[in-house]
This record gives sequence, structure tokens and C-alpha cells, in this order.
Amino acid sequence: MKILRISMTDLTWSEEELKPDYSVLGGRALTSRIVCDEVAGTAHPLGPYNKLVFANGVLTGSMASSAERVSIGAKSPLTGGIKESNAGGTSGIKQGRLGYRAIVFEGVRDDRQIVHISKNGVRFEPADWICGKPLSEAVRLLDEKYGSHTGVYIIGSSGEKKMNLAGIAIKDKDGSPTRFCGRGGLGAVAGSKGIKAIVLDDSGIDRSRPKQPEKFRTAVKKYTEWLQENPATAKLFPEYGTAALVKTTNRLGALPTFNFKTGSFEHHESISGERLREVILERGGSGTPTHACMPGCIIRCSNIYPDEAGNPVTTPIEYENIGLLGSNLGIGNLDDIAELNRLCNEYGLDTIETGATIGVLMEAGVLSFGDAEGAKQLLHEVHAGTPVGRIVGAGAAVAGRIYGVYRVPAVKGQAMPAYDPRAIKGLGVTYATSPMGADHTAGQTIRAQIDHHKAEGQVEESRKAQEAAILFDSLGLCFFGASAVAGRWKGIAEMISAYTGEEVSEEELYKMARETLRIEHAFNKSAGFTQAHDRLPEHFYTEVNPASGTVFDVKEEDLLAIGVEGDR
Amino acid sequence: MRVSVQSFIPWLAHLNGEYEVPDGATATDFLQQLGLQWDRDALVAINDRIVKENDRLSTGDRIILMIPLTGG
Repeated sequence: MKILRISMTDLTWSEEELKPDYSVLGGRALTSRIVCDEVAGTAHPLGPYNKLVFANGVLTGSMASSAERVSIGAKSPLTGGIKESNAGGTSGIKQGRLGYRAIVFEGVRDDRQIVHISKNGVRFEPADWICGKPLSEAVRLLDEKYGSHTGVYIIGSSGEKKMNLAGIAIKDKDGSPTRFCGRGGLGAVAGSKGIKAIVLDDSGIDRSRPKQPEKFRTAVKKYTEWLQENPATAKLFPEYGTAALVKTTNRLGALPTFNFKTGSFEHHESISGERLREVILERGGSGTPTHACMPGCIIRCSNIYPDEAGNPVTTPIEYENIGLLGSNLGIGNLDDIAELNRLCNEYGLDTIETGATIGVLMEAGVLSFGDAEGAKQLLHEVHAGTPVGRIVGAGAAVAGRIYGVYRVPAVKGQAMPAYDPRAIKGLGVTYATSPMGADHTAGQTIRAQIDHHKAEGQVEESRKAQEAAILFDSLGLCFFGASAVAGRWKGIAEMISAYTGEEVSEEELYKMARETLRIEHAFNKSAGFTQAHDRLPEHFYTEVNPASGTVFDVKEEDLLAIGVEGDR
Repeated sequence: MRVSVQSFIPWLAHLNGEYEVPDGATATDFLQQLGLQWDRDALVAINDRIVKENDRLSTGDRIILMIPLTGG
């Protein structure tokens, strides 16, 4: 495997062999390692010294189920710290076939380019003809020119405008650019480098093969059985997707409602996973409640949401979209949520940051809670780049400062996902202490059989979850398989060893996760982060969530033990 | 003693209702009685508090079965 290095300033490229100490690093472990090794903590996120790294998981391309994810990393314009965001879809497979564990972009430029990568090398073409268009149209045009077999990384109009909530989209297995490395404003970093799209053409290249095929087959068989036997991966995700969580979080008082004012929503039944499935099945047509984003994934948590005539509106409607674009905004109608989700996808926006930001504007009285049409109009303003659109595009923390809002649900500049930290306190610990800012994928604790309303034991749960998240995100595995893997990392280590031909132990995997967390904190420290940043917004400590009857009360000294200046 | 079950897991909705359980039964014992596996098939709360496997049931407890998801 190689690293492809591209200078966007000069439009030149070179290849290098993966350094020996990078050889079993992938995904988040590799993006963070490269960013830490090559980017100064003081670099401006949109300047020439930041780098944008696309790194495959170690197993990406192996065709094991749910193991085709790719990570994108850089210094984040949203948080000012290190950032990794990952997604499924098809680009990781293409990147792997082209032989690149990582693609590193350097430099900046003012115009926008399409970067075409194939077995013949890298070429650059002006991107003006696809700029400013909705992503579905831009990708249709790319497919017409370069072929629908290609993989794509692409930014929307928000990324072109270098907005903090811009993500980077990837095509799903059906060619729809709806899988997002959404968090942290990485689309703005791409925009600053003049990268409109990266086209990955793997024509004429055979698929990646395991180094020890027999051993690999045996290990994958065992892993697949885990996925097929577990209720979450075998039944829950395929039938209801992540939206199944709505009733549970509503019950726990954790479903963000009215800008995280409370944790239960009177209309939650109408936006639940059960209702979502009913609507999709009733309408039929192109809609489906069971849809895979990656080829060969047996979890199939995605869905395609149809309109009343059965025509596809958007994909996927997930728990986070429902929480942030629905209950958090006082919107209890799936069609409205679907349309907001569609607009986010078309303009290349992180749905979590977008929903949280509109919630802040609703708190400020710019529009009312429940005003779905007003919310849609705001997304058009983002696309058009009007002043209010720019404010929304800056994310919740900046929008809160501009409108003088006290209650802004963000940590280290990044908006909270759809779990109130007063009701799922382990996630509150993750929000506060993760190098990524408020991010459920950095250490999800909701599955833990622990009293989520109590402070006791939450720091330890979060610490374990933060390490586990890095394992999944570095190996290319979808975190939704976590229930099935259930900590059986020895089996995963066997799979990696057989695929790469390099013996890896369970202990080495854990060591890699801890080391990644350590260097990410070190990067943030060099970027100016201190213990003062490892905190939730003040009001979560003082204002009771009426639905759970709790405030966030995990002891600060315990929190600080795993934060930026912690020693664990 | 008698306890009740409320399921938030769609395919376990048939378990909603009242049950007679032996005195001293733990959360795990009761799950077994329902044919479920502890820490696999459901997140389990009693009277809105998520419980540990050896927590004992009391008469009148309301057992809530929630979605065991790690995803989001």
C-alpha cells in the first residue's frame, strides 16, 4: 500500500511507500497520525499548512461485511482542533484498489479542480461546470463524463463557500452522493484547497486480495456469524435503522427537543423508527426501509424515503436527522424532516450541525420552533450564501454568539448530536473530553447497561467507548457492528492478520487506539486547548432537563482525567 | 410477586403485560423467564432506571425493554 501526495498549489503529485510504522494504521489512526506528524497545531485550518487526509481503514477493500469505510482528517475549521470523520459508500473500495491507504492533499488555491485518479496517474481538470449545483446533479454530470463506475469524494455549495458545516460526500452503492464525512467542516478544508471533487477510477485494477486467503475466509466467516446472530445487526438495523432509537431516547429523556431544552417530544411517535418503517412500506415505489450503503453490507441500516407517489425523496433518514432536524426544531412530521435532509445532502451540509444551528436561531427568535418552511428557507439561504445563510453556515457556536444566545449545545465549537448529555451522561463525558468536540461517534455509551441518569461510572464507560470507537474507525469497520463484535477483538485481529499478512494482536489494537487518542489530545494541546475546553456549556450543569429530571453532574476532576491534559 | 413489562422493541411488543415472578428474582432471572438474553436482546430499565444484572425485582416493578443499539 502507498500514500499519494497531491499539492493543490502546484497541481503536482507523487507516491511514497507506507512508512513501516504506518503499516497497520488505517482510518482515524492514520489520518490523525499524519495530521499530527505534518501539521502544526497553530496552522490555520483553511490555510496552506493544513493538510486533508483521506485514509482507508485497514480492512477497507477486503469485502468483509460493513468494513469499507474511509476516514477524512485535518485540522478542523469548526473546532480548531484535530478532526476525523468517516463514512461508508464506495470510495474507500476504489481508493484501496488504486493502491492508496492514504491520499494527502497539501496547499491551497483559489479556483476549483476535479482531481482524477486512475491507474494512469493523477490529472487535474477545471471544475467550474459542476460548481454551485445540487450534489445529485453534480455527480450525475461527473458520471456522464467519467463513468458511473467511478468513486467520488465531492463537496457541495457550502464547501465551495468554505462554511464550517460543510461535509464531504461519497456515493453509495447505488451512485447517490449521500454518505457524508459530515462533521467538523472538512468540506471547507477541501474548498480551501480548491478540491471540488476527487474521481477515483479503478478500471483495469483487480480487487484487493487477502495475503492469507484461507485464514481470512475462516475469520470472516466467524465475524459474519456474529453479525447474523445479533438482534441489533440481524433485525433491528435492517428493519428500522438507527431511527429505532427514537422511542428509547424519548423515554430516557434524551431526545433533543426545542434546542435541547428538554429530552422528550410530544410528537415523537410520529417521527419514530416504527412510523418511519410504516410510511416507507405504505408508500412503496422506490422506497425501502432496508438499504445498504456499502456493497456486501449485511447490516443494511440505511433506507430510501419516498414521497406519496413512491418517488425517492432522500436517503437515509437516520436517528440523528430525526433528532436534530425534527424534535430539536419542534418538527414532528417525517416529510418535513425528509425534505430538510434532502436539502442538507444537496448542499453538502452536516445534518447534525445544521439542525443544531437552526435550533439556536429558533431560540433566538429568528424563526419559531416548528417552522419547517422557515427551516427549509434557511437552507436555501445557506446555498445562496446570503448573510443569514452564512451565519447558519458558520455552525451553532458562531451563530449563537452572533445572536446573543446563552443556550448553545456545542463543545469545542461542534454541535451536539441527538442525545441530551444530562440524560445520557456517559455521552456527556464523551462530548466534553473527546478531542473531536461533541460527537457521539467518538465514544457512544447509550448501549451500556448503566444508569444513564447517574454520574457514577460514566467516565469509565466513556473512556472505554472512546477507545472502542477508534478501533472501529481505524479498521474501516462500521460502528453499527459493535453489538455483534461485543469486544471480541481477538477475532478481528485474526481477520486483520490474515488480510494484511502482518501478525496483529488484540493488545496491539488497543495500544493503537490509546496512542491515537494520546496524539490527538497532544495536537489539540499544541493548538491551544486546555482543561477549560473539556466542559459542557454552562447551562447543562445548572438547568434541569425536565424529561429526565437531571443536570449534568459528573465530577469535573474525574472528567479532566481523560481530557486534553489528562493522563489516561 | 407481580411485575409488568413495557417493550419499546417492536418485535418484543408481545411481551407487554403482567408477570408472576419468584421472590428474590434478579433482572437477569426475569429476562431468562421471558426467553431473552441479558446484555444482548434489550436494554433493561426498572421504573425508568437502567439496572445491573443482579439487581433484584420488587413487587409492582415496571420493567422497560429498550432498544439495544450502539449506533446513532
